[in-house]
Amino acid sequence: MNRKKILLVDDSSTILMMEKFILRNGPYDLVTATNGEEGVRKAAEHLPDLILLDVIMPKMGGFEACRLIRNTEETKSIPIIMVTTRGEAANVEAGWANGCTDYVTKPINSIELLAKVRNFLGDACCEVVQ
Amino acid sequence: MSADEKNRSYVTVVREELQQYTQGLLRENEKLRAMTTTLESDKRRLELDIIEARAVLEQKEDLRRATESFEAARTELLTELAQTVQARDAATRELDLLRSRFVDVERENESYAAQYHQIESQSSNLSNLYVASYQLHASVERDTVLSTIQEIVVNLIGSEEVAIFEFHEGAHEFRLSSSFGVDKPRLRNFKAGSGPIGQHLRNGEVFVNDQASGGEDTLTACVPLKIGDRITGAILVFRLLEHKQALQAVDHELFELLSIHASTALYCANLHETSAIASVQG
Repeated sequence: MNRKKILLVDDSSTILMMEKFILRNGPYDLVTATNGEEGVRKAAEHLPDLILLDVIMPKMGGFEACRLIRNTEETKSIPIIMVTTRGEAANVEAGWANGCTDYVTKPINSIELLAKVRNFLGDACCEVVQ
Repeated sequence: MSADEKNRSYVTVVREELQQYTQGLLRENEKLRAMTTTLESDKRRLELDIIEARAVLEQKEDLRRATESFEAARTELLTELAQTVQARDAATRELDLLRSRFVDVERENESYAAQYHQIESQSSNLSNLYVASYQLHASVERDTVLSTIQEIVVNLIGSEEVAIFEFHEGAHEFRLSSSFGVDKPRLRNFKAGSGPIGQHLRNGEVFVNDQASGGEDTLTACVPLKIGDRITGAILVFRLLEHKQALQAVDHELFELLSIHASTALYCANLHETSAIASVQG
């Protein structure tokens, strides 16, 4: 099976654990980072197939991390899903402006998150029966 | 009259009669010739009629043969048509059967999809509860436990306004231990049983305002922290996140879980802190 690599960036251990739980049964290798700076570094180091990126984090926030990832040649085309507690239009707009590909809101809905991850990674083996 | 004259007269008579007879014969001959001509003409016409009649007969024979051939073809076509109708009826029956099977399969598929969705949802809820429980007991550091409670409320329930009160035996009142997103002046200490929060805590049950919706400035939940029957504190959850339309069943379960596990986690953290202080002093 062609395994995909996902980078999870969040300062909340609760959210990281939740995301790992949701994605644990899929064909994914998970890498974690607990702030934006570490996220940017690990994105360049691991070149993941997808990044789940929190917005508010210490050291470096999600929007800045997103911008840096987009401005780096090796990582610029990696899809980025912003994970945010703020679902308001202005916040979402800021995400798009900084180069995110999609977003999910907290509390994370596992079905929604899995659907979005599968949408980007084309995980046919785990498709939901519709 | 002399014999000679008599003879001459007789000859004359005979001659005249003969002449008349000859004239008669000639006329008769003429008639016969005309009749012969007519007959010949009739004969030619009849011959033509015969040829024409033969042609008609031949055409009739051709038509008869064509009719026979057409009849045979028609019979064959009728047989084929009957077979086709039978095949069509059989195909229609099969199609109806397939349609019926398709409907059954579609219904079954919908049922499986609903079951799958339900299982996913249950799995998600269990994940929430497991993560919350795991995180609460992952540390005995008081600050970590308090921030974990906040994280659970923010990230798993969906509110950025939370306050944690603990009961102080000596003062017999609930005092604010930690808060997030709420103005401090709103969070005054309160006596057991007094005020609306004290009233909610009196029966030791989790209070949930199910009418609360995203963005509404209201008390969404009051979760008593319990160890056995003793109430050791309370978690107050106020405004839900804008996009959180309503509380779900899993939120109720999270409140129940917090009521027991957050209190034991805080209790252990307090014990740990006391023992750490004692060991430093000792």
